Amino acid sequence: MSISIFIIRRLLLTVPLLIGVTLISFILAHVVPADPITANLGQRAISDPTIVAAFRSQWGLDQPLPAQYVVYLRNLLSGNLGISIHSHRPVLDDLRQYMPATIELATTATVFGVSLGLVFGILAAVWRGTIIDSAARFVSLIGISAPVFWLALISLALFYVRLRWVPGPGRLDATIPAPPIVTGSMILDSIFAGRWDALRNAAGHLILPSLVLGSYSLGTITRITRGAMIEALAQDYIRTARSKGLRERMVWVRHAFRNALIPVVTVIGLSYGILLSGAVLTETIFAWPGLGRYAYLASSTLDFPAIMGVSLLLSFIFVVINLVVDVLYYFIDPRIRTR
Amino acid sequence: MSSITSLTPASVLVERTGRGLRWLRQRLALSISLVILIIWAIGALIGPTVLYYQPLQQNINDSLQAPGSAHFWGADKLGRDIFARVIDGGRITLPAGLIAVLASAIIGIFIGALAGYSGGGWDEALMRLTDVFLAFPTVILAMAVAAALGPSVINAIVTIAVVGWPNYARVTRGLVLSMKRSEFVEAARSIGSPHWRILFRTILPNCLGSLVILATLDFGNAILLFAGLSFLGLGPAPETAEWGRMIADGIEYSDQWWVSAFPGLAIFTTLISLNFIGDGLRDWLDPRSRRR
Repeated sequence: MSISIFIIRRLLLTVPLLIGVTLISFILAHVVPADPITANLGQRAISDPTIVAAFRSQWGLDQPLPAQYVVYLRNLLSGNLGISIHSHRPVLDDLRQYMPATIELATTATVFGVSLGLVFGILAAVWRGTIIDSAARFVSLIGISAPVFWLALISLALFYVRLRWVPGPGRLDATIPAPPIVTGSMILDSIFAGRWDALRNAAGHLILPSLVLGSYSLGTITRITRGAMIEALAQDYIRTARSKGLRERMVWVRHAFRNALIPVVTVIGLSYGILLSGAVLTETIFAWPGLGRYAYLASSTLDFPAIMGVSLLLSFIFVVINLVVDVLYYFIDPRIRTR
Repeated sequence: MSSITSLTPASVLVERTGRGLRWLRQRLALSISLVILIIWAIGALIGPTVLYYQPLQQNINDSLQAPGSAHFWGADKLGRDIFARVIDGGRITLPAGLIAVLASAIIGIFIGALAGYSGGGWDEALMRLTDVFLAFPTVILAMAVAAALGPSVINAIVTIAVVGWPNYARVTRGLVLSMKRSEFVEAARSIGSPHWRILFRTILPNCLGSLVILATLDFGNAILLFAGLSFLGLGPAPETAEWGRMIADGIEYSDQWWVSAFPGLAIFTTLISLNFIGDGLRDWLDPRSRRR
């Protein structure tokens, strides 16, 4: 099977998945007892029946549910995600504004978690049972077990409030004017604009949330890499490679690690997806203007169009990441190609 | 295993002592984990009756007092004793996590077993439904459900069950599929057992080991998610002594680290313990992983 047919087939399979996601978020947003009117109109406006009626008809709340869903799907197909009840702007514009901050944070966090996690995992497997192994497993256990919002608060209190090693919450100090928006990533935009002061400041702001957010990935990736490497190192072909007289490091990297890659790549993809969608708590504490905070605001005001937009976007990203992982399998493991 | 590989005698010896040490450490870690969990559980059960301070008792003169002789772990803004509150906090968090895990396991196992056993159209439909829930970003779904239902402990539990069941469904389906064709199921079928009996009496009891491991590790996730929802204000009422809620109390007091440090420590130690116990259970129930 050629790679393009493989990708196209997988992409087609995601369509029903995404329709399912819209259906769930729609049902969720409309069947629950909570009332968007009390969540969005002031006390005074609620007592005025004409305002309430106008609000209902503006958002189609007076139509039967299946009709509302059909209207929503039709709008979706033409790229219209609706208007956010809270911000009064098109949801698509909101998402476009908030997404880069999340991608920037999740990407740096994943890079941190993956690079350290792979190294820790490989070292722990190679020196299994030694103090290195114990240390790596201990770090990984901390990463998996520490609540991310707790780590965020404690590290802010220590490294920002007490030690002043890093700047506080937010993406940029208030005293530094933001570079013109090109990509939405503060780092890239500063480089494009040649604003080195902004670059240094933005990078400083990025460090702590990335470390906090990436700690969980670090934990899981260390764990999985270690397990997969131990499995691979026990195989016969490793003994063959060693008996050929191959250098030990060559055996680890070329022979064992390549065979351990499949579960490792799966977990990396999974954790990137989780970081993109799971940054709600980290973003809230670090005042990071990303999708997580947007989603939190949307659900606390019962802003249906916004909740549905965020869920749809994140599910789509998740599905795409899974697709990329599957394509990577195709390149990593020649056996998959022949199936 | 290692005796047939090309290791030198010295390294065999090292490996053996390593294995011995590992065995000991595993038991030690497991015992400490159990002790920690038991301490939190006992604290939740009898804490308020034996401690000097009550979890909700305000001592306004002691506001934000540092850990010391008056307040072992310090006091929060309203002068409430953090030690008493953390000890009492497990009373909500631990049962909430447990009930949520049981609920997601029951739903997921039922759906997964049905899909795996019946196959065909049912399998296809139920698994696509599971895929949709898996594709839905967990935290966003949880937040939306919790916000829509309104903040309360019960609703937070419902929320965790709603986002938690797909994993159980997937694992159960896989287990049931792999056992469906095995000889002991064939035997049960040939003596004329009805389908429900084959599924619930013959197949599922054999899946139980793997599912118990999954649930133990998932208990930690459920506690994390519950504490996270609670931290966002989507769980118990603000004044409640609950671990996630108490961490949120510390947001404004970064100089008074003890306000959020100790409740977080409670979650952290509980999760580490559950991870060790999950791993220990896996080693015990799955001999394949024992060598690792």
